[in-house]
Amino acid sequence: MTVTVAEALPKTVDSPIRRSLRSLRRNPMAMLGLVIIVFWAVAAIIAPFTPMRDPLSQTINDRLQSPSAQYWFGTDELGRDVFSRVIYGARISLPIGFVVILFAVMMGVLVGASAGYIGGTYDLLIMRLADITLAFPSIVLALAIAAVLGPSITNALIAMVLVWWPEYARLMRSQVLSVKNNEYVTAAVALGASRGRILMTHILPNTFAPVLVKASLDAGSAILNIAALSFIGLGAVPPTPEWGAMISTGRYQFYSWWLTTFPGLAILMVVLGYNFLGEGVRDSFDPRMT
Amino acid sequence: MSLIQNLIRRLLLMIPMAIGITLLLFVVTHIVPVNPLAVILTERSMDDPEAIHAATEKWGLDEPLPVQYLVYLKNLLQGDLGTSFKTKNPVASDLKDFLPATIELSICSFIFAILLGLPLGIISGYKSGSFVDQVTRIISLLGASMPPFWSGLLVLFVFYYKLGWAPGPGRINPRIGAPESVTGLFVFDSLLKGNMPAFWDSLHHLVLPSIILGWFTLALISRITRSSMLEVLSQDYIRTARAKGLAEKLVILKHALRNALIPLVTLVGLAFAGLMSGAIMTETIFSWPGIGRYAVESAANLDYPAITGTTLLIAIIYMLVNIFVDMLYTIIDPRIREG
Repeated sequence: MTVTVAEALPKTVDSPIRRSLRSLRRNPMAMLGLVIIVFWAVAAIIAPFTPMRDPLSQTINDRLQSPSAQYWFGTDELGRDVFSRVIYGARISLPIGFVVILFAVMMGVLVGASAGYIGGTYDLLIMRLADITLAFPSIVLALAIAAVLGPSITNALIAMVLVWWPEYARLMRSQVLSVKNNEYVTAAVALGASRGRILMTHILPNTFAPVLVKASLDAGSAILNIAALSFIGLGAVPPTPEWGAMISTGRYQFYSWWLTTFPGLAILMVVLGYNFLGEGVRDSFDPRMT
Repeated sequence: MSLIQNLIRRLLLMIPMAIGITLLLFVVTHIVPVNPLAVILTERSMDDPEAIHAATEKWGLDEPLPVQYLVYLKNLLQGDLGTSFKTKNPVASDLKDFLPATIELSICSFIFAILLGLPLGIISGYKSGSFVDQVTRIISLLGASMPPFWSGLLVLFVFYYKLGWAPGPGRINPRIGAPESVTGLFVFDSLLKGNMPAFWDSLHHLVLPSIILGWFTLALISRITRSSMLEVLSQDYIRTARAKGLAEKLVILKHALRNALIPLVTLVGLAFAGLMSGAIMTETIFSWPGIGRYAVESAANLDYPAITGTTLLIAIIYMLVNIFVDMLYTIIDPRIREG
């Protein structure tokens, strides 16, 4: 019996990405992280459609109530329901953390990839700017930028992106430099592909894994830093239910422990979730980095 | 290239970096159109035409921005960082007052992190999967995931408010008072002067903030030690050492540990950045009069000279730390020195 070559080959070619995703799905820690994040995301989305109290509505007679059947997490100094404020807080922290990383990645990838690919003076200038930005511990520079821009959650976000993109730019640049001398790139050049096309279709897809790994490991820190800026008073402004800001108003009120405990636990849970998932992504997509 | 030559080259390279840093800070503080006089002068002297004239002259405020930058640079070289408008003191002297508290806290938290992180890392690398390994994993995960401003409040709640074991926020009990200043480090100064009550009290005040600030570093140290230990233990020379009948203790301490500790050195730079970021939060929670809290207060009060001064100082120290780490690495690891 004769078998053609096409029949002898496996039906589907297992791509590296698919293989990585499969190993991610089998990683219990990563899946626990994913469950935590999905849980908070769902809570954040459905919150306005539940009979939960309005996080801003004040019941002056019920000020500083300890947790009870009526107020699960107690009430704050203005008689607002801490439980609904914590849940609504996810509507700020979750998307902000995501957006900070997304913008930092986009900016870093664009700048870093073009620097690595174009080279020359452009590369030199961009990379010196990145070096200078990285000469600061990130939160310190973010603090200065946020202070200058004025307190608001958008400005905190801008400050975070401005101090974070160089890390991705540096990573991306070194990736592009190592990929651009591969034979398949030379082949594309020989075929007359434009520089933009080579960068987008031949180089970028092959540099994607380390950036993804770094982004997923950074997501938790982004949320921590945004909460920190709000805690200092340079992020979300009252009466916005933001976790860092809630901890800030409740600090030193040791008798009313619920004011700070629950928003803090929320931050801890979400950041742990992101870190679990991030480590799983690292193990699956870049085994060298473990 | 010899070590000294390398060091000189690195220090010279710091000059363009430092100029870049000042330029970046200058741009950042000038993107927002505020009246610069309002930033430099106190509220009362805003009505005083003479003070306005003097400040305009000194900072070259009627000049175009590039010239203003050069004036700023010139003042900087003379050690003039401007005047804080909250404290009304020159920023440079404020920083000199606040720095010792941060140094003292950083040293203590670093000691805490090493004393606990190193053994935990060694044991969990040697016996991976054991109980100690699991506990270490949880400790380091928490260290990386807990906001320090929250964990600080948590330990204050438990150990100060509930149990009364630890003192509240602050550096020393005001009734005892700060010891006579020599270095500005309370523990050291009080010991030097034989002021035992101040010594014990300032040491007592250091415990909680050091644990909170050191937690992040602890996480870093234990994780790197663990993975480095795991790697070294699988090397041929460890098998050789065991095969020739060396006691296990000697294998671990003399053969494995010495090599496993090398990667830790590179960590110091990262740990320093972590300490500085952590100091900002920890000092705020523990009312610790250091530069972290100074930075936060000046940011909250839009005290630009103070913000830029503090940021500049931290960036310069950070650069020096990184150079120091690279040098140390070359000294410790002969493969790099001779390679």
